[in-house]
Amino acid sequence: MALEGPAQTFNYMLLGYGVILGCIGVLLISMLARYRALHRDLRMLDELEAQAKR
Amino acid sequence: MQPMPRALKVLTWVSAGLFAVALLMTLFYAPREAVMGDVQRVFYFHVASGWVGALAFLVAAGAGVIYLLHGSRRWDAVGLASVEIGLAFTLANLISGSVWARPIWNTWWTWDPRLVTASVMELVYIAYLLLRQGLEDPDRRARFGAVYAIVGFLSVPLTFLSIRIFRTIHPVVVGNNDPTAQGAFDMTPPMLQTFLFSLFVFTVVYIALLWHRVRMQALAEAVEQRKMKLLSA
Repeated sequence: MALEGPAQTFNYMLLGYGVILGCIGVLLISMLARYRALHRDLRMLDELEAQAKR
Repeated sequence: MQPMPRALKVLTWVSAGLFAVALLMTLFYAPREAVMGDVQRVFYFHVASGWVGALAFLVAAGAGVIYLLHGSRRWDAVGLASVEIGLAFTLANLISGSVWARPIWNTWWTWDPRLVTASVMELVYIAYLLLRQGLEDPDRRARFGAVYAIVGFLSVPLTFLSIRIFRTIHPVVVGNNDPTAQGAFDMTPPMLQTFLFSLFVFTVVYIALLWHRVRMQALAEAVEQRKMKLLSA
């Protein structure tokens, strides 16, 4: 039987893109969360140092 | 913490824009492959992710060598940052390959040399992070990390060459396919342009991410030093 056209693999394509964008997204979110946590720590350290000086 | 350099801001926005263009090219400019259909479009980002993974691990090994020669902690930060980014992109490469394999090879996973060596490479670099977690002394951590990144890099050429040395069903993009390869295809000019553009864009994205991550590591070390100083006061 002759092949009538390309295989119907649209859903697999969506899943493939989802996986790649998801991995990059998780990396970005993780970096953003750690940036925020570090800035929170910096603010806390500023406050603690100001208290220690008083 | 110094404000973000203008060059990094520009690079971040440029890489985001280029990424969007590459995504649109894979979806609308590159033609649908005649046999595999739409799932073949995953190929562009799948290979680009694998390329960034290999590049990131190469940079980590290079940073390791420079750290061992000069002892500057900045290079330790570059190595750590690069491994983290490489792990994320290699994971994207592995899982997207599995998604592509399901309709093409009729299985999510097979014990093919490329799949095995790529998975081992990912595990080698996960172990790098675990090793670092287990070491308290920053200098010792940096030294061990540098040596590990250099030795661990052996897994990268092994992964690259696995489909050229061993009998495999994984298609080869650069070079000749094994006669048993399944899912190989000839690239038309728009496919080749999309492929090369995706490789370029992912490289730019990697550079932007690396720069951000290295800056974050510098901030983390500054915070840690201030904490130690406050505790010892």
